Amino acid sequence: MDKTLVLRPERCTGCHSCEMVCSLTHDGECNLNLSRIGVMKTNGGGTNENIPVVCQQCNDAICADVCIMGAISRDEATGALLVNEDLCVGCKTCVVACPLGGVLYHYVKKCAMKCDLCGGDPECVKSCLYGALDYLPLDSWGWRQRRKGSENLGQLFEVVYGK
Amino acid sequence: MAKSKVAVIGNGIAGFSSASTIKRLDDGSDVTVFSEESVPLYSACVLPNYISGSISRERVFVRDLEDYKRLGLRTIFGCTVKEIDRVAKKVFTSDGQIFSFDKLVFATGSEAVLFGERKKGIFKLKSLKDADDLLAHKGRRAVVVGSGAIGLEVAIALHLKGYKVAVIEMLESLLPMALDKHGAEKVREIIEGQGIEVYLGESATVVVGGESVQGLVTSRRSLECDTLIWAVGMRPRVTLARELGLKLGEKGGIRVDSHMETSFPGIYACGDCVETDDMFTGAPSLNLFWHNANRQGAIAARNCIGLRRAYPGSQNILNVDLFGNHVVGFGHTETAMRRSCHKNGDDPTDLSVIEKEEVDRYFRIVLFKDRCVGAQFINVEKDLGLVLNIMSLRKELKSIQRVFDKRTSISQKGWLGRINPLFLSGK
Repeated sequence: MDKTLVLRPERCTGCHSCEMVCSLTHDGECNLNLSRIGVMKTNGGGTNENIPVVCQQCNDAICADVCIMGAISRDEATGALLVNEDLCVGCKTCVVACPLGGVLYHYVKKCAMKCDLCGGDPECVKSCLYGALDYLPLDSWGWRQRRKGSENLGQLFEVVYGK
Repeated sequence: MAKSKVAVIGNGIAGFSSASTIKRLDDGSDVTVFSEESVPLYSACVLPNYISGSISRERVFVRDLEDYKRLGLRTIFGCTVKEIDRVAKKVFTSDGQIFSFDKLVFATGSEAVLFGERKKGIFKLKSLKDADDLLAHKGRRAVVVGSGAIGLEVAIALHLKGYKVAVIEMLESLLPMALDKHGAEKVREIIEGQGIEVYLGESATVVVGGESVQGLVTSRRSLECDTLIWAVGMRPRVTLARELGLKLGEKGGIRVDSHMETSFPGIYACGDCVETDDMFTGAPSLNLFWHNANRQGAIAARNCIGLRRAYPGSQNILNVDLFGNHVVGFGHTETAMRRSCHKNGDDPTDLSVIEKEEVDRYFRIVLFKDRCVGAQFINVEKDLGLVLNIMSLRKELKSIQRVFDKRTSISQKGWLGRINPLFLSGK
């Protein structure tokens, strides 16, 4: 894994263009139900925030562990966890197990779907006009961005939930 | 350094996961996989789908023999391991071959519990061969004894194949390990609504028939059938381990420490044959599930080659699809918790339940001492992962509720928002 998706909630405007581009790229139609990435809107504690949520490609991935067909495996080139749609039987165990909602159920293909980082060139990043999404190398700079992102998220949570 | 020789006994997911992890992390090691079956790794969880015909036989396989070659695993398939000498560090197979090893991984799996004599038309469902046998058998009237996940899935598969199916359950509700009474009642409605007969609170007493099965007498009635399926449960296969003198646990599985090592140093065990601590309660338990075996295999492998890694505990995750209805059960039922309270002398008033029902949706969360120990969902498909994580962390609900109490509403696809009423509606 040499690059990673960076999410910057503080820049997200909630325009959903990433979702539309995601479903368009993968399934050929703009359908928010077929989008691997999702933007959540919070309104509480005096803030109105949009938080993009997408699979984090965990190191210790529970979706891959619970898959009864061994259909979720890591792509060595991009570091993304990929669903092998030929193997997947659509049992939804991975959907059930992921705490983030990173794996979704593709109701047309009847199998699991998740972010595949578009094979190393994520379309959602290109579609984001506000710089809320970025695809950065996982070197020190990438980590720095990640840490910064997490600090922002931490501040956001403080505002939303209080200390 | 000499090549370390590892023998892996068993080629289920635990065996394959440990063998492939060892090979991946330590390329120089010499790994041999022993298996009674002569087929590569397949998923026993999808055998009901294979029986019903929704997937082909090829799709049952998770790996093919080429994969073993590519990974560099030596395979001794189609012969049983007869004896293990742990002092001389040798494995003896039934066809007279002898292999030496430095480290040994037990992944012998589990076997179906059977009662009575074997007749034509009596089946179990554990291996691919069982499924093939069942498919080769042409019957019209089937009785399934046991209503666990396997029992119900087989019943549905046979129903879809045109059999007339009856399910017998000894206990008072369906899916007794995963659901409490109310959820089980909903499941019964689903099953019966599709034309499968369900008889609860009855135990099988006599199998009728000469050479082939003709019927089953239960404690209340007599049923005619030409196909009888035992789906009353699985138990760890520990014959070899017992002969070797490995310490067994109170539930009958091989007792391992948190590093998947057995009572003998250098001998590891993983998969359905071991007894581990439950992640939700911490009590020793048998959690014979695919994902536990998968993780245990990877952890046993790491410890086997000297990378210390602890096993966090087993999770009981049941996930079945009943005629398009998604039934999920995590952890323990209220009934089971009451039983364990009684056994351990805990106060049963510490148990509480959050329950909600809307048309065909239903959920129930079981809390014990303010910790989430069980959850049951029917047709609820979102936010389950969050509940599972809360259960796995074994955190007090208060600490989590503090977050949810801050009146946050999330408008779209809100995984927090949707879980919110769940915690606010309870205590």
